[in-house]
Amino acid sequence: MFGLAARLKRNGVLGINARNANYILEYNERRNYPLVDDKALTKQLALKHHVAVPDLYGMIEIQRQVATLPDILSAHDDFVIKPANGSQGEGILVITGRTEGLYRKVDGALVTDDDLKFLVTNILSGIYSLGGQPDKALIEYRVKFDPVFEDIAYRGVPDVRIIIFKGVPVMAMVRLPTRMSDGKANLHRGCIGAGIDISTGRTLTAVWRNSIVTVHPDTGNPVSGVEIPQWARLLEIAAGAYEMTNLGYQGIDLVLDRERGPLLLELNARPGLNIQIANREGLQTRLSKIEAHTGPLDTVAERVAFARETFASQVIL
Amino acid sequence: MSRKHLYILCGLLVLLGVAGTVYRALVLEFPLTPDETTSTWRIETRLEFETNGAPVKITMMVPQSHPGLTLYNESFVSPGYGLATSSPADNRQAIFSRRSSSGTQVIYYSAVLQRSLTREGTPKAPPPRIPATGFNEIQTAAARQIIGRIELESADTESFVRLLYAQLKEPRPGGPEQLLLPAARTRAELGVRIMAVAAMPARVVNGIALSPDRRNAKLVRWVEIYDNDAWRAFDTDAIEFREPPAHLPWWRGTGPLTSIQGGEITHTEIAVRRVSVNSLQSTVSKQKHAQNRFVEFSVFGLPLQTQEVYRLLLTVPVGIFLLVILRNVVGMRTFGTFMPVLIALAFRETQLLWGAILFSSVVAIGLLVRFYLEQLKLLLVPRLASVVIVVILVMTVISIVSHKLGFDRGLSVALFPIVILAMTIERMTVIWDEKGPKEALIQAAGSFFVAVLCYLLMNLAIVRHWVFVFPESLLVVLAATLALGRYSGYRLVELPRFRVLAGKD
Repeated sequence: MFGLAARLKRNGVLGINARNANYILEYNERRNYPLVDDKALTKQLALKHHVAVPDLYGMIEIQRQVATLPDILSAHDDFVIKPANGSQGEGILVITGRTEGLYRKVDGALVTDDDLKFLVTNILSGIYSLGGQPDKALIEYRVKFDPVFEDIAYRGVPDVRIIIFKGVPVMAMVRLPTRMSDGKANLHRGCIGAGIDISTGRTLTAVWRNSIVTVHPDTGNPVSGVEIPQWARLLEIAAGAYEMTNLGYQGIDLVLDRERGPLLLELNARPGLNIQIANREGLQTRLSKIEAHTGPLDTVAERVAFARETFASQVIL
Repeated sequence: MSRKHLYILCGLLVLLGVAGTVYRALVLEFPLTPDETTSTWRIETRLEFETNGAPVKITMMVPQSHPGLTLYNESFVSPGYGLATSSPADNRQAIFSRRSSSGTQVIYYSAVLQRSLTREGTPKAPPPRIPATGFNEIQTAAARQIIGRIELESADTESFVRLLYAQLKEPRPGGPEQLLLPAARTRAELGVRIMAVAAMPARVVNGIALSPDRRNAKLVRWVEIYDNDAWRAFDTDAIEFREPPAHLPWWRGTGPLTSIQGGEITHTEIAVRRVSVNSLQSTVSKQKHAQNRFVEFSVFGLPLQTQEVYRLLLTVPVGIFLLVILRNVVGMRTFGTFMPVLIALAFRETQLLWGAILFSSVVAIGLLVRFYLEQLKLLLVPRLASVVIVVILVMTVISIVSHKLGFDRGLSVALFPIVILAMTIERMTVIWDEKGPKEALIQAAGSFFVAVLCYLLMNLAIVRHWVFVFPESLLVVLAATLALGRYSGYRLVELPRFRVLAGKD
């Protein structure tokens, strides 16, 4: 057992305690947390920094406003309802269209106005928020993902997660929903995580339920070696997030919309560690390289260049 | 910087905790284990006397604590008599008085004695006055003759005393000591009086042997010699400078144990009995008697009922520490941070098996109700409130039904933390909905397992004893908890999780 721990340490695997003690507590100031925990605030912040986000159709903050939900929705055929302070993708509902006064979910099931109102009510009461605080419900634009993902995503929207340390993109992965993950981009629920070579933007190995896969289990298409479009822009947005939030260690979730290009979905002050499995590489090694670096890392361009140079994948596909 | 600060803080806490514990254990002699017993002696004096209606006043010598032996739990039983204690010249006496009484009267005195580990050096005493010898002229001359001869053979006070008592122990026929023997009741007293002639301060000590147990203990005499600014005991039987082993010095001087005015003492009896008492109990009584501030300002200074509360409360830090390890070092997931510790507290009252059964049934019924409420689409706070109400009703029903069926254990269900149970049920339904029944049951089982572990640890007799008797040791627990706050190693559950990243040896 200690042998295993020693080998993990040698390979630079970052554990949850080390992440919390040495990175989150050291580099993230608590007063900056609301900027990333509240997705409504994150949206404003992103727009201020000229980063595109999914359009906000409406926001429900108090129970009385729930009655106005159908009015907000009337102008839109498809949309997403999500809690402003949700975590791990909980409480997010994606509606892809309407049929005879009913709404169609991603999996094809139909729901009523009342079902939506109940979801919003639950969101407001804080079920999905950190610590059960009263929350807000956001209704926003549903992302239509880039065709590149069409063959390797089952229903939901694939998103790109990049870990950023002191403004330097450290590690990246793309999360590909599967039938098992119920169209959600959450590794716990069985979506595929594919590491991305920071240097080239190509997917590396992919992990599905703790095992290495080369093809998507539902579509049978290869998931390795896929080139993520607009990779340079994604890195730029990620590196720029440091200036947005001042959080030293954070995760950024980006999606590629077929019409609008890269959109910032959310930021995370406590990004998960599964990205290491998807990349088959430990985070600690890369973080230490940044901590040891003495050259200037002041501008976004410098940081992106440093990342692309330093974190080029060694894995030969 | 913050790390160094933390280590210094932890170090200080450990130091403080260890110092406090050591002080309590070694100086105050609190027992280290819960079942340690100490030998103590119970001495009882029974005094029987006749009175004839005149005002009566009885003076009784009572023992006092002295280095090596501590006296506590003293009691005087003297119905109808006024009681006063005074401490004239090295002694302690109790004075019982009554305006008038007649017939046979009985007075009891009892106390508990305990040997202390610490033996402070003999205290310094001021030079005493040489008492009157009480000899007549012939006797004084005989004493001088003895003194003269011994002074020739002895080098110092010590050898003088040895030679004197050796001679008194085996008086030669026709020697001057034969003249003196009738003048004193005991050999110890005689020696003291001869030494008074030589202007050597000495006194008689009256005491009793502490073993074996006796219904009617005999008084034993030895002497104390004033030498080098302090009193030194001398065993007149063994002819050795020491206190007779396992003896209690009762009073000093040649006076009697009891004296009476206005009546007649018919019977005096001293009983000595060895009793094994719980060390903790005897230490607390002893220290309270000594009015030790450290004990006064501790949990033992609180009313008994409050002490019971702290007996329970002080085990919580230990449970919480285990919880920190299980969560941050092992990586177990539980509902609510401290819920398992609170459940463990409840288990203490219900016993483990019953606790498990009751806990599972309350949670299971609560879950069913919560799933039903789900259909009604209620707001969070009223829904949670409904679950709390249902939990209370379920607990009441369980208590009533189990009582009627004769399982009185079921009554203890009332001790479960209601709100914590309701929150657990709520969290469990949310996770059930969001992540599936499997995850919910895993977390529930995890919480339950942690609660059982906490219960087992918090209920260990030695743990309960230590946190209560040595609360300072919790500072060490605090230090360890603080230190774990900067623990950055892997959690055990992360090892299999990241196994793919370990590579080959």
